[in-house]
Amino acid sequence: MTIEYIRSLIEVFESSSLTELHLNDEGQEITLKREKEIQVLSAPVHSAPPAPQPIPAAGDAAPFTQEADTIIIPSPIVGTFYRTPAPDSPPFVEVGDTVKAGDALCIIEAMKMMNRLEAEFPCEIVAIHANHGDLVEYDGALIEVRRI
Amino acid sequence: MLMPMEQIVCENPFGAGPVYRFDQVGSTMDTAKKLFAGSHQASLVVTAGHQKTGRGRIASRSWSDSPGSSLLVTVAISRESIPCALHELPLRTGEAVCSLLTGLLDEEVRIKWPNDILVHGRKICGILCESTSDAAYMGIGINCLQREFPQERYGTAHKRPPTSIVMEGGGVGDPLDLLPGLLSALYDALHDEHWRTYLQTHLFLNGRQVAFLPGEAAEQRTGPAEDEIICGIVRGIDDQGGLVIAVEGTSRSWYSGELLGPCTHGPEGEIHDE
Repeated sequence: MTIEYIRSLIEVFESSSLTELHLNDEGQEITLKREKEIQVLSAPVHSAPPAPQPIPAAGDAAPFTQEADTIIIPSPIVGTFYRTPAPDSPPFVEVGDTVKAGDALCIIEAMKMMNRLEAEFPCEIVAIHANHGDLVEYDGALIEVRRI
Repeated sequence: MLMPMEQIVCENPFGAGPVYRFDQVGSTMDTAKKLFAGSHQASLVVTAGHQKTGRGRIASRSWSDSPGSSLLVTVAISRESIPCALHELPLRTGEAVCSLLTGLLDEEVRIKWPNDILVHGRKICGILCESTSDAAYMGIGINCLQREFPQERYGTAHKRPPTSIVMEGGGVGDPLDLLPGLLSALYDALHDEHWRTYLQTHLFLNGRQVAFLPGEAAEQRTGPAEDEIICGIVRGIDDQGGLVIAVEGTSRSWYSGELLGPCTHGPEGEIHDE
């Protein structure tokens, strides 16, 4: 077993996926071993809390950042968002209003079916994240409320 | 002589809830909502001989009727008793009415997406569906005994005047006689696994070029804004019930808006009835 032969063995071993090679050549033995690679998938250096991410609004309104103690009311269907019961009527709710369970918040119209969304609990209206007449997506953020 | 309100004997397939008959109401929709609230019923039905403030979807388009000449009904069903998706109700209600009228008339009955029923392109029935957190309401108004709807009073530049069962050659005595058949047809339509197929084959102007006014514009304007009207070919409805319109080879589904009718572009781009 010459030194050139051993070098060539090492090259072959390194280029292979073997983790261990044991060779016995007429009393001369050689063993090559490779330690397992440890792959570092992630190594957080800082442990700061994640920053709040902007949430897309349901319609054409700008993305927003949800406040810590609020609840987002999503759209149950794809449709058109109406803040008023009729074109010449005042909005169901305005920001700052407080409503009780069962009060109407808005209407989502799809295929000419008027779906009235109502408050499930007493709450304060914190923000309205869609414009009157916006086409809103399923599960898109409509109204942000704070439970009272 | 009927009392102002009575509970009538009529099989209600939706949980055997009560069926109320009024001589006159503001609207059967509003009355059904008042009666259903706190009733703990799975369903109830309100019908009336006349409604004073019948509502169309657009506030400025109220539903007008001559006393005793139309079948005016609202069916209320509790949310947990609805056998299909909420947004499918207007189309499935259309299937029910289309099925009922097809059995009464020798004429082709068509569903104009999403909630009108037409014969020869003339409206014979309007449907208005609403939902709240506890129930869905299907309002149906079928013209039955009317013998004329003068063009000058009911028609517009783009629309033909309505029609009725009698005007289309159908025989009906009292509009209320149609109620059991309507409720039965509604039950079937709400449970119909093949409702989309029915809609596709009975869809008004399917495969034709139409004028369509998208989105909320129809809700907020008394007349259409011509620059927002889409002209394209109706390609049926999608699996959510949206109207598919192809414009220059690209199809898009619409979930809100109003199908104005057939159209062709004139030399100056104006829209004409075909």
